[in-house]
Amino acid sequence: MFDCEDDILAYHDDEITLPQPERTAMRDRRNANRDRVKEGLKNASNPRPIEFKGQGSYAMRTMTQHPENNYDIDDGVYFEMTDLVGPKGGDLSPLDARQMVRDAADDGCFKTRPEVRKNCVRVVYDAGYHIDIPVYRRVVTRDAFGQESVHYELASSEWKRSDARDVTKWFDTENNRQSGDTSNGRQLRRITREIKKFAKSRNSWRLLSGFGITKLVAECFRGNVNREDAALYDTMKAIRDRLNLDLVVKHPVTLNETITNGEKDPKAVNLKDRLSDAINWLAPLIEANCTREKAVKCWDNVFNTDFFSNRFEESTQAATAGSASVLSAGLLIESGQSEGARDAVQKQGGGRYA
Amino acid sequence: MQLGSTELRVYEGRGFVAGWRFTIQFSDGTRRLDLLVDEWFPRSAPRAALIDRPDFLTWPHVERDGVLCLLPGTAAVDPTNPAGAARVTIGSACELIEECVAGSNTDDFRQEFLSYWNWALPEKHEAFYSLLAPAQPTRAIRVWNGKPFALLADSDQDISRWLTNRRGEKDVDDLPSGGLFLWLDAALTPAEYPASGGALLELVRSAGGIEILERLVKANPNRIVIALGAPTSNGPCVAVVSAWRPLAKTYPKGRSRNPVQDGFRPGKMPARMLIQRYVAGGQVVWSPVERVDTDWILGRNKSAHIERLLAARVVVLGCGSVGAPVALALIQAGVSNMTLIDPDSLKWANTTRHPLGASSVGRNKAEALTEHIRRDHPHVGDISAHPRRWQDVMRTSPDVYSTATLIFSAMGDWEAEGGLNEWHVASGRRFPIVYGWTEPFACAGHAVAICGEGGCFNCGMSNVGVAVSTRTSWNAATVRQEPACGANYQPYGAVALGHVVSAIAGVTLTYLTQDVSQSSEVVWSGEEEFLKACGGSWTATPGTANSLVKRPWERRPDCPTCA
Repeated sequence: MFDCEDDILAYHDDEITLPQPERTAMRDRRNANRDRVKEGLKNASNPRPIEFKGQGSYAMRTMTQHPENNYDIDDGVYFEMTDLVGPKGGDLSPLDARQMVRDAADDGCFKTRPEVRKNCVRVVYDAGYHIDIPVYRRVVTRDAFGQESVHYELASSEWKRSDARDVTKWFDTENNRQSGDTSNGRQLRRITREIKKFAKSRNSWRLLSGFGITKLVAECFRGNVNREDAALYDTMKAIRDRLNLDLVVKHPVTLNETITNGEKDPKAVNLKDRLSDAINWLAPLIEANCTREKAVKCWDNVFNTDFFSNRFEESTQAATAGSASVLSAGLLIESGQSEGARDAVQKQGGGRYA
Repeated sequence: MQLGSTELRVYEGRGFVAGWRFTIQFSDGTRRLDLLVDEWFPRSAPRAALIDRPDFLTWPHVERDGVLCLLPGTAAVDPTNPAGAARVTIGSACELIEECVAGSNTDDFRQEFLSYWNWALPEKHEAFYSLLAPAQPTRAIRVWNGKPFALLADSDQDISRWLTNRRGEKDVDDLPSGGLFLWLDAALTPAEYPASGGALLELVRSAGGIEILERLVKANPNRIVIALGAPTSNGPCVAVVSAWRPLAKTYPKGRSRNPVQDGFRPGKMPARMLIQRYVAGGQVVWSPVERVDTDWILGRNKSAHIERLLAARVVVLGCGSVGAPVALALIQAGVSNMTLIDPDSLKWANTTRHPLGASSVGRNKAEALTEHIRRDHPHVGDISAHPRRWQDVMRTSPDVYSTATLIFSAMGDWEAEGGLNEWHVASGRRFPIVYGWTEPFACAGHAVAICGEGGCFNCGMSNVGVAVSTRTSWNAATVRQEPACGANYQPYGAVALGHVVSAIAGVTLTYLTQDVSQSSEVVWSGEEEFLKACGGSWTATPGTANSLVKRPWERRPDCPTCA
């Protein structure tokens, strides 16, 4: 396979993974939202949450860049079950719990008011992103022997046993276990981002969710620490082959639950078909006479971009001898010895030793 | 073109945060050059890396990732002129590359041999220390194959002495074996490094080591250590090449093949064939060598009097807060033979102003300091301890004193030092005795050197051991007492004491390295503010704060000891 590792890594770093300022801004937004919810609950004399925990792609750090900043931050709020009591002394219903959190999040400043959704409260910001707040309660039970155990329940259509923190833990474990490297988020995480980016490369595509892709990458990952491009290609192929055999994707931590809908989830079918397309587009890279020029066009096609071709052109221009950008070694030597430069560096140091 | 994260990843571990790529026309064509900066730029110097370059170690000053060695580690950069620093870097890089293209700097490989040898080594390599005199001729040497290092020396005695110093009285588990030191006319360039047994054999032949190697091979060891030595304009360099015996091969049905001995009865193989099979057929492994020989350890300081210091034997009386640091300073200056005498043990409260710390508490000061010196300066010669008073040592081992080059006394005790002076006078003052002490709170300090001419120690002292030249006076008593009978001490700290120790060590070195026959005194006077804060004032003795005053130690006509 023609070696485009540098190009894929450059695309990942420049166009896929979130740049640090963006990550910092996102953390600030999340923290501001937490403060707002806490304040709102306090002002309404409602129970105090025991904690907030980030979840989903934000917590797993598999978010990818979006041109319209359409980011979805998932930030669960956790209460003690014993604190969630209705006016008549009974347990607060899941809907009442979500409404309580919605009211707390709504400080009157939002153009679109925070809304109660099936599994969370959604706070939408004008800038394009939104924060989903799933509401959990902490349940302490005793068995026949008086032994205490703790579990968490999500305020959905009913109180449903669930805790998304387990998903984050599962992903981190898989990433550490399967990746052959330790830098830049590790390879399994990068490949997850890269395939998610591919799945979002055309607005018209309706493919399996990011979570579904994350589970499939963890299942089918084909690592290659020396060749990011080969790892990506091999993993895409392995996912396609796996979906050919079985379109059902099971939830990684909740037993008997699936991420896909039924045995022929159309979004899973779409993902399988689009991966087949991508594998076909990349076929020229396997040929012996492949050139870099051809290879970058294939990758451009996969990600629906001109990033790879542009990068190829830049490097070609830089390497072209005799072009206007070629400097003269003789003149550069003179420049380094000229007044204004030669005093900038004292090769023997300042004569102070310690 | 500005470099992206992918291009910068090539320089992983160097901490570059930005870079720019230039295409430059050199005399042999165009080459791409990266200008790179780390997060400390413009306070740090920019670096340059060559993209289009020949294989690693073809050109000098080009590291594995293409980064060029342009500036010495001491270089300083003007942070207000980053553009100038960048121009100097690129200009220097171009100059270097043109020299490489012209082949005019190949000799740099030889003159800076150690850098390139170390760059060429495999990631994991054995550590070798060397006590060898890095000079001709080619000769047989001894090798201690220990862990975590192997040690090279010209004799088993050298190995034993160094290891005993470094490791205490531990048994030397592996006895030294034979090795070969090859003295080459010039250091090797990377192209000449012996990459195979055949090349190594050729090198041994050319340097006249073949007969020694034949003897070594006959013993059939697992490996033969061959040290390479060569002169460079920066001093001699040493490296090691190990020739490993080819492994015997085992085949099914119990058959085996010994690639060294097969076809010959033991002892019947011609030497030439044996050496060919052993060295040329085996594996060659390169290793770095760190010199630990005295010349290297002390020669770096470029002391003009090193030979004299190495030959001297110094007796140190009193290994307390003044004696111990002075003794250590003398060892670091090059004194190699020393006898340390002190009956006291180290206490916890001593550790704030004594070079020994908690790990020596409860131990005799002289013995613990001796062990410390041997362990940390294993190149030293004869260092011994007597955990007794100087008078007791005089009774049982008078040679300790009569064979000394110089005695340094930091006992600060009139009974002991008055007696020492009487012995000195009686024995004809044939060598100097330096007396060192500090005044209260280390506000002043004295080094009195007594030689054949001038006063004896008693000439400048009162009958109860107060120096006439005392610089400080005190309204209240300065001596403190522990909650114990007679357990007095003088409060002073390591910082103020540093000046005093330095003054005393300086005087002692002068008398060790120069032919001085006149007794003299050096007085250090410290900070006046500090003196006043401690409740003291200066006496009428001449001197100014923060200064050293040197004066003759005059003979006193009515001195009861020497008059």
